[in-house]
Amino acid sequence: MSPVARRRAAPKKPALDRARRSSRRPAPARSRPAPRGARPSPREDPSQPDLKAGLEVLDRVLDLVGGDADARYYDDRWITLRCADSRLYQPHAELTKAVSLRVALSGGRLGVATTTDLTPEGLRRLAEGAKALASVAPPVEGFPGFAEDVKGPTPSVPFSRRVLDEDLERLGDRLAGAFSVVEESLGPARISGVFNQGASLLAVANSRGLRRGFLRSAAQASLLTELPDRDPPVSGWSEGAHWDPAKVDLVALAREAVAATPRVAPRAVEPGKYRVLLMGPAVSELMGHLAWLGLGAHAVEEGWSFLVEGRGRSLVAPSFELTDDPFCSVGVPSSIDFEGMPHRARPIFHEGVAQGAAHDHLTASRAKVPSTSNALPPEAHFGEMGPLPLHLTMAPGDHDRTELLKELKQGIVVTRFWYVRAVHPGRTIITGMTRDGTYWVENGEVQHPIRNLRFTESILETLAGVEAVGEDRRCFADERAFTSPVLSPLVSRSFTFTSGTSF
Amino acid sequence: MVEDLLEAALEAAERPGVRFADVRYVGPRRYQRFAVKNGSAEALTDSFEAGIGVRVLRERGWGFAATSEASLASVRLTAKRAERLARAAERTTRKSVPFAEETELPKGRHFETPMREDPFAVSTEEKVRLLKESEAALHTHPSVRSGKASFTLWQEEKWYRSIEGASYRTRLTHVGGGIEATAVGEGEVQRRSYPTSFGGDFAQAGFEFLREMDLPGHAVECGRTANALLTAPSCPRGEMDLVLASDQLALQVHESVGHATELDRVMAFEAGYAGTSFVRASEVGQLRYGSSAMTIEADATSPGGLGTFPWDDEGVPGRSYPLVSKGVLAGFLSSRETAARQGLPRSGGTARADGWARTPLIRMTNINLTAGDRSREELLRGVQDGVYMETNRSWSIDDKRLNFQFGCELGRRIVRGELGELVRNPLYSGMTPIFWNTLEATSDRSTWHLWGLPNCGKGQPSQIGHVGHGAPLGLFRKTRIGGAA
Repeated sequence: MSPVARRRAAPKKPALDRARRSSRRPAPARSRPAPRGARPSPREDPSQPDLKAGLEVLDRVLDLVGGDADARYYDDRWITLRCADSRLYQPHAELTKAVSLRVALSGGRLGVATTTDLTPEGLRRLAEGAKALASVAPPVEGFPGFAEDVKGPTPSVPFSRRVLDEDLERLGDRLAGAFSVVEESLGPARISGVFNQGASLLAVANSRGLRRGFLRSAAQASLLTELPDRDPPVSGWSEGAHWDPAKVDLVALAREAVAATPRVAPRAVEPGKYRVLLMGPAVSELMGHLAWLGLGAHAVEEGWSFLVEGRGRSLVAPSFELTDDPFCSVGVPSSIDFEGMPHRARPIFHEGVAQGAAHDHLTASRAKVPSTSNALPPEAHFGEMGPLPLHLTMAPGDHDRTELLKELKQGIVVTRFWYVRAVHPGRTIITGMTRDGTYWVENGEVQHPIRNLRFTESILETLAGVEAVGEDRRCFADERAFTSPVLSPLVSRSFTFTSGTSF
Repeated sequence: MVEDLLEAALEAAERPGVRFADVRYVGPRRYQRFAVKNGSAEALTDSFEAGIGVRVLRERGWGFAATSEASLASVRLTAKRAERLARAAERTTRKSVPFAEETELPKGRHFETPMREDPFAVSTEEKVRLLKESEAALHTHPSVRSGKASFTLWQEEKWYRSIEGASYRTRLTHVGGGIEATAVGEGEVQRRSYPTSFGGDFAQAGFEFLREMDLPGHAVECGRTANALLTAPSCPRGEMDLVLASDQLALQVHESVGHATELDRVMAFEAGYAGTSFVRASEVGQLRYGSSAMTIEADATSPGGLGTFPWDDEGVPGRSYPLVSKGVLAGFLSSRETAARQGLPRSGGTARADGWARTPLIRMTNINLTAGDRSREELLRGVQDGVYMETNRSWSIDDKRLNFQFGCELGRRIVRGELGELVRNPLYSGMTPIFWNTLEATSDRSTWHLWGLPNCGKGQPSQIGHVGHGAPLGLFRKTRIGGAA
């Protein structure tokens, strides 16, 4: 979220007892208290996320501008525990406080500046910098001024203090417990992955009186288990995210990755068209690309979005119901967009029919429609993509995994995709590779793993071919939960694989 | 003031059991982006940031913590958090972390990017005027629905200190720019960029680099070509000879050689995210990576390169060494930890971090493909029936860097040694060592260009690396070529 950067599984208790018996790892000190004075308690730490303080900073910034402007205050605190070679490889903790400011001068001339220097002098330079840029900026076509606030309170979202309070060394113990589960099941496996948790505060204010903000928590984890002694190696993958870190159960994820790890080497399958079962991470990749290839107002304005011709038409299977839902309780809920507009849920595909594009205040004004509260941070490079939906949420189906495999009958299960790129944006044709668990299915049962395949396929055609949707509903947030889609696995009747690789 | 922060951080980090610690204060880190799209300002952004990152190595684990709060109290707390994280890492393993010695550590050294014209001293008015002029000239035809011209300016001041006594200060300046025209026709979208796609070309230089690019002078051709591509025939499919332009060959080097020779990937430390490599650590001197026309160096000393730096973020001097020599694997990109694991006498000096809030990772320097001895015309004359491709449009490669597919903005048929008609949506695909073994020749030094890529993603949390790739044109025989539509 900072401008300077740019499952459900069986809820079992962590297998720490077994971890203690492991001969490879130090025993996790589950009950050992943190050493006195080693880490301040939250109350002792003077620097906690503070919405009121953030809004006060923004008021000072807006006073310094003295004209039309909007501003954002960010306070991001994140822990990232990166695992490789079956150990905690790169642990990372970060605190970033920053302000971004957008100034508008007459005629819609906009300048944007950001800073991490929140001293009076730093804020003064920020205001002067943004004004100086605006003074020479070419006018933005159709700029309507900054948004007036709307009626009603800022939607509340749940928050877990655990993301700020958890003892760092105990996080290491949680990982060790998950590793032990893998090793006890698979033997000499190689474990990789990441666990992120943290809090992000966003406050937004503008010169038309808007003052809103919220604090959110998030946790996200993925685990990769590999058996490197197979030729080629085989792997299993699990992943999940939630606003509540207690719901991101590392041991449960470890069990899931173990269950997904084949014990035999993969076989080659000829490229061609196959029926597919796309698991949640694979669906997530498709949704991310669909968003920027066609769901935003910029793509519509420039004429290359499928919505230009396709809005109001039936483009996908009726069973594929998609909304932009910032409040989904199993995801990472969000109150407002980066212009401070309160979020609201909105359909993307309803009964198969494509709905309207995502808008911010500017594009909504140009299109003469209300904002859909999808503004991105104006200071970020990716903000140039224009408004995008960040909380794509599928309606779950009613098929469990066994039933999805039965629906598939014969075909390929794809756990996740990798290095996906657009080949033909207007037709939503993308290419990429499968990764970390691709399987051959016959008679509704997994037969064996297969070597990875390259695909080139249209996202919309894949969604038009949806025949079944899974009941498993899970959040696949990115590392700081900037996007937090909630998705389910699905079966599609045809998917084109164009070549293979050797592993 | 900064020296006090560095001292306080190292003092707080140096606790019993700590083998190594270093600290980087980065600030100011300035980032300016100016983009004009269809006559409007799409981005006029000036970003200022500063912060401090502390890294600690205990016997069995690393810890890293960073803060944007530049107070002594905050810095001390941050250093303690780094040390606590290293303790957390130790709770997951009984194995020691090896760490290579370095005998040429900098002591009080200083470096600044040489330049003729400070890009931050050039007035905003002039930058905007240049971009507006360039962008307006892209609209040569109503089909050009979108024109865009952009400059990106980046400058980072860094103070580095370690408990080994290393210390240096640098100020690096990177600039880049480009134009692109997007034409929309009946169900077709075509884009043409100059001097290359995804923001253009970048260099470690001053504003003179952007002036010499002459964006206004190339805009009309850019717009015309975008429009012409709408009605050009599709690229033929089949196994044909392929000539890659310098900019596309640079990306090919990046994806299929640069990443594949990063030792952290080779050792599977990136397995969970960026992926691993088909190259094995034991294959130096043995793996036939490509034909004898393929020689590639990792050169952190190339003048003007985005991957040029005097010392990396572990205090190791940047230098030049071969990765592939006449087609045979010759070395790896390494850090102090991975070099020690590989049994190398010292690090390759390629550990770099994206600013104060990130830990150093193995990053490419300037990964340069050596030029051959044929002129461009001589290279083309060697093709009876083939396709020439220029400027990347899409790129995709598997997580071991083997199976790849690249799409380009522009293709041209090559018939009897001459460039012929324009073809649209060209793409080619292959498997890395098979493809590189079909490299018959590269063109001469006059066609070689050092491209700057400012968008190399790696790491968790994500880091954006600035890297360089020098490349001439390359002739590949019997490559799988196709068209997207």
